[in-house]
Amino acid sequence: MAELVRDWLADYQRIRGQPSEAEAFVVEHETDPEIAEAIFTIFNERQRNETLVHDICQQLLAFYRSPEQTLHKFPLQFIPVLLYTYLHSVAGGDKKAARGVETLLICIYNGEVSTEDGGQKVVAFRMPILAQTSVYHEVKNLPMTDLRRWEENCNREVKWGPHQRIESIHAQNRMRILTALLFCYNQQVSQTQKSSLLHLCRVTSQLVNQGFTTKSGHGHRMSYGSDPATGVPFPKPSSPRIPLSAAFLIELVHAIYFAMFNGFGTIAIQTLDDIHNRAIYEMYSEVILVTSAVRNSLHANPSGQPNDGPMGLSVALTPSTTTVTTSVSKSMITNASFRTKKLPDDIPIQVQDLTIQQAPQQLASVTEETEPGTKESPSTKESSGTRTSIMRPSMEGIKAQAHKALIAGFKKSKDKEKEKDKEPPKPPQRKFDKHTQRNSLLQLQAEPSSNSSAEQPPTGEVLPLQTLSLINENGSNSFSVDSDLNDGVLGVSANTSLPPLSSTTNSVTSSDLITKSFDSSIELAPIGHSSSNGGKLAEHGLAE
Amino acid sequence: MANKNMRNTTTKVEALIESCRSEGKWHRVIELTDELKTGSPHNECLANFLVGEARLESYLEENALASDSNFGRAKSGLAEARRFLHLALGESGQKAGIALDAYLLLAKLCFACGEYEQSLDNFVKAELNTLAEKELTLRSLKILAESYAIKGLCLEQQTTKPSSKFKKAEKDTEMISCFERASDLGLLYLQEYDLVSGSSGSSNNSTAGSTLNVNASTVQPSSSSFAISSTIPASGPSGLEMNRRMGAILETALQRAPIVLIKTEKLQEAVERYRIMLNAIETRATQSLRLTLARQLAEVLLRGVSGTIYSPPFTGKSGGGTLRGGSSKKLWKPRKYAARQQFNPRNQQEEVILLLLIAEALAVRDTVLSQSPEFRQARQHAMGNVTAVYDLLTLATVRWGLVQLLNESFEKALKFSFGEQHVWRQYGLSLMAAEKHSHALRVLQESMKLTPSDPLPCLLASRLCYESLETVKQGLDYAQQALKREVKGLRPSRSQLFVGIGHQQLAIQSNLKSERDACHKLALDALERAVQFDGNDHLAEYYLSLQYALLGQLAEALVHIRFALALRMEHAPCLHLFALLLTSSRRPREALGVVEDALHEFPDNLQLLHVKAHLQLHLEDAETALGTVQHMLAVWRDVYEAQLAGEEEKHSDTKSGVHLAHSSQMSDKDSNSVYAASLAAVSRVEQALSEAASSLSSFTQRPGPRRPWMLQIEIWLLLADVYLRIDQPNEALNCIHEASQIYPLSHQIMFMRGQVHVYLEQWFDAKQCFLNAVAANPNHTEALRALGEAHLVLGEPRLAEKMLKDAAKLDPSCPKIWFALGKVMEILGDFHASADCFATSLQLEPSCPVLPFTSIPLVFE
Repeated sequence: MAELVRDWLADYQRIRGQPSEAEAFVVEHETDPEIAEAIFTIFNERQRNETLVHDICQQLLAFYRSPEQTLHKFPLQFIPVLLYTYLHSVAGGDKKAARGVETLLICIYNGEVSTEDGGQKVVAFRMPILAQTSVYHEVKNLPMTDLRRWEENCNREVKWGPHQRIESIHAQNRMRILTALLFCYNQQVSQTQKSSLLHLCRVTSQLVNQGFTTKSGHGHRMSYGSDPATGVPFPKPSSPRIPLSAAFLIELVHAIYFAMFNGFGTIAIQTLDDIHNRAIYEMYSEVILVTSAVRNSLHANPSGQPNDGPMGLSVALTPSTTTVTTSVSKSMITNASFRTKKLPDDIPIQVQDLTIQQAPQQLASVTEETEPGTKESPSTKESSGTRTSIMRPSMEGIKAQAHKALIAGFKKSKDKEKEKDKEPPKPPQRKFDKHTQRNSLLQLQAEPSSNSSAEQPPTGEVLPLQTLSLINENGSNSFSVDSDLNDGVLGVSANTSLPPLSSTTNSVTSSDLITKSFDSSIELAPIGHSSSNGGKLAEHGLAE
Repeated sequence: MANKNMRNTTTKVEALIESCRSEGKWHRVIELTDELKTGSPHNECLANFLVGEARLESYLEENALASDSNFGRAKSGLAEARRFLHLALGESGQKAGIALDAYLLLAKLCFACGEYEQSLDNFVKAELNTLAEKELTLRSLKILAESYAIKGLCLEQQTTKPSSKFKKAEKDTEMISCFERASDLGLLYLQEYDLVSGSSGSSNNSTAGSTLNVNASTVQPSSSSFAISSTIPASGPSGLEMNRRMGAILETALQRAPIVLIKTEKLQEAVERYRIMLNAIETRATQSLRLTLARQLAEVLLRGVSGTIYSPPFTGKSGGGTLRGGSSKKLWKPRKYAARQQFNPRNQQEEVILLLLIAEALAVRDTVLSQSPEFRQARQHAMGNVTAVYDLLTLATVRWGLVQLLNESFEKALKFSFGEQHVWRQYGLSLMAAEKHSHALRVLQESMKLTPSDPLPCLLASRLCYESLETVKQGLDYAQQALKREVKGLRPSRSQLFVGIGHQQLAIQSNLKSERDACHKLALDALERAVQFDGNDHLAEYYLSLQYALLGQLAEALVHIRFALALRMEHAPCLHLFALLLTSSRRPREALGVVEDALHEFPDNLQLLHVKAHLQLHLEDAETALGTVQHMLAVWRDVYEAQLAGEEEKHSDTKSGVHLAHSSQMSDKDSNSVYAASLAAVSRVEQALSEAASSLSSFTQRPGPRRPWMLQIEIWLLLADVYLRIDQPNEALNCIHEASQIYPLSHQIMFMRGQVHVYLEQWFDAKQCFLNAVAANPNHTEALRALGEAHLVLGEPRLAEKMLKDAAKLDPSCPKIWFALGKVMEILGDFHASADCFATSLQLEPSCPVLPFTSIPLVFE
């Protein structure tokens, strides 16, 4: 094995002064993984090949400085082994043995943090946000609850670098420099030959496990026999633990993650456990966060495991989504149950007929509802989203009645808007803008507004529900209702046939709700904005 | 007249049949076909086709597809359908133009029976590979999409059989092509279906013919009647029907298309296939599928594509459409998102995070909030989906310091994560990583309940209490909880270490001697046990050495600090403690050497520079100390100025590393343990005064976190001390003025101003300053001692006695206090007490370090 490397060293020395020969050297050795394998082996047995290790580092340094791209890239695959060799020597207090490795690492670091024109390299990316349309989504299809995130992340850039060039490594900057080197290794890890990933896993396990006993129980304790007064040197432990920073361990996890899904699943999983245990020992919260995420994804169902197939992706011939969806009951509540739907722009003529019939009786109440109704309509237009909840057929009749009542209210709002058109254009515009903004914030906060004028629309919307509840409770008069509105609504309901009382029975999920005759998604509507309630009812009326 | 009426009835029936076919109402199709046959006997061939199709599709809807155990049952169950479809293949079927469809449906039937070879034969007869693109009805679109999918699945089954290398490559290419066309046609079909079902009125299907009329040169009048549009209004179907609308075959093909590309080592093409499918406009049926695709593409990019081989999506003008073929195939391509000013990822990180954010929004929307037992399976499934996305999001963000983004996601996750131990633990860890200590503690408390046998959340909470929240008692409780949970004995040394640290800190804080002694004993016992459990832990040895130092057993302390340095020779706190121990052993020059060697490895460590300056002062080398302190100011400027300028962007590697290192060194101590010389001491008293100071109109608080500013105050005060030593009181006053600009109510500043007055022998002013300092912090022992001395000089020995006794009670190991007290007792005439005080001072002087041992901040690494 050593002979192969010595020949490789001698060959390069021979052609070093002849630039024209470099290309031939590359062609000869490019497809020769035996050289890399031999170098890995020698690093594993570096105690017996100290001089050879030094020569190899010198040669790798010359390669890295070479303008030939293939030679330039060749040393990068050895970064994990070089890091371990160096850190092992430093932790053992034997820095002289790692002088060659240190020089090589410094040179690679300075080369990797610099651009070709001598500037400082920066790896940067923009922060995506869901509030901005992308090639993969439209804003309207996803929930609009990330306004704060939009404000924080808009035009935000995340960076790696810039890094300063260095002349020496010391304890303060060591982990930072080695982490940057590992980052550069990760950037090009998919271009290295596969066998280097195996050495990466082995070296990583050695890094994080050195100095720890695998068995629990008493560790070997050093002798107290030495007399401090005489200054006798204390015996050093054979394998002191290697100090590692959190950022370094996170980069190691990324390297191991790549190896896990590119041919070395079993050993990489073991190495990941080693990193996890080391992170727990050091209590590095960032590292535990990442290692726990990877370990959990190896157990969870949707994400695959290395053995499932390429990249850990596998799909059964019958996707489990179908199976689960089939068993979904219509009364199940999901996050999608709380969606609002935009009211249609126009209303069928038949509803207008109903409104016209009731107009004489409700003339007295038009004035009272004018202002809240007007303020409601801009917020109605603001509400957007797709409603996907499933309603029970037995509830359609009652919803239709509520829908008709609400349509009447909506009609009055439209009438009032027509009158406002005669006023100067500027004041209404400003008023609507304020109202729109307030309702937008209300939507985001999902809380009832404390503004007195804004409180009135919900109150107005609840009244028809109360009336329906009164009907369901056989005309109980326990609620106080405005006489004019009550008469009007009763008139509306009197014209329609009531569904059977048994079909209106539902369990109440919230004690705050007044009516007991609607199912859960309607019961929760008063918590949100009133336009949500109107939207839901209008939707079902139109759907019917 | 009778014939005319008969023809009109037939046309209506045909229109109804086509509508039912599109909507999958197969039993209705059979009924209508019987009616059709009654009206027009010469349409028997068409009737056979329709009955066969209806039986096949209804069977497949009721039975799982392509499972080995179902093949036998499928053969018998579909025998009738097979017979009808074969009847449609006769010469009359050819003329009617339905043979092509019949062959495709027969292939589907053979696939369901596990007869892959026959399925492929039927596709050859249908000439599936040579079809020309044209507009199709909904039903035809689906048949064609499923045909390509089935052909791909059959070819995939065949690739496992031994064959020549060339043949295998050829079959791979064909299989990939089939899956790709299936995914394009499938998405297009679903998009068209949304358009149809989305309209509230009558729907007008764009139809050029109900069947794929490729071979027939003539069209019979009866078959062209399928072009009549349906007049049945379509209401929006439920999500359940949506998924049933896609069908298992299409869903499998859509997910399988990129995976077969990966299997054949075409990673880049797989990525492009994912991108094309995700770039297609969303339909209601594809919401669940898009979650899977987005997550899988993120996984592929994270797992197989490193920085240098990544290529951005849709770089061409026509996007991915140019990947295969040209624009002539647009008829069978799905519609794409095409808004202006789209966010188009330019690198791997942008694309991964964008995909995961979309997947998160989709997964969170489908989470189940019902807690009924009947929904447990659905809840677990949805939870698995969203947890998988969170795990990938963690992997993609923590590396870049984007923990804040992760916090927001987990915060939203708590809505549906009751009892989910993984999510709660990840949330707690992400809050710790984001340095939100109080919030993290509360989340960790919940995590402790969810995993009663895990010591890790208790240890994390304990460390939070010690290091960040300054609640040592609470931290000790958590450490003891962790110790109880260590039943497996995996790493009991860490729990023991934390118990020892807690007792040690309580001992330092305690004001009662008996309480202090008890805590010291408990700390010593716990730390001894920690060292026994793990003899290779430098931190346990370090804290044991510190414990012996606090107990005054310097020989033992030196032994253990040497052990700690043998285990980790480049540990700044160990070197710090070693230097202090050397000064307490009357070896200050050796200590200075140790510090200077340490500074070679840690050039910017302010703690070590601080010790160095004090050592130089101790060795009467004030000029050199002056240079050291000025260097400290320069280091402070380099390290903290950029941070305090309001730069919010966080460099994932450089700044965060330095910041984290220093923040641990600057751990706060409790208000009871403040020492004037402690560089890192920032008490809660000062925090309260800071709030009071902000109410003063003349004071404007400096921007940024408080800790670096308090650190600068300490440096300025040390510089003032050095200037006093070299007899420059005016310069000292200037330094004090600089410190006052930062924070005027600091008791340290008041004390130092008093020192200047002492130097100038302005004793009354000095007394006032010391009184102010003691008022700000009653436990400031240096100020108490100086106040006592001022009282003595001003001829108030009784007050001096009071002050000095208070100081001695707080810090009984300080020889200066005992010396001053001895002088006071001498003046008061109590010579025996005076002699005792002087003797105590002489006894303590040799082992007094240049700085207190408690000036070293807590360390956990």
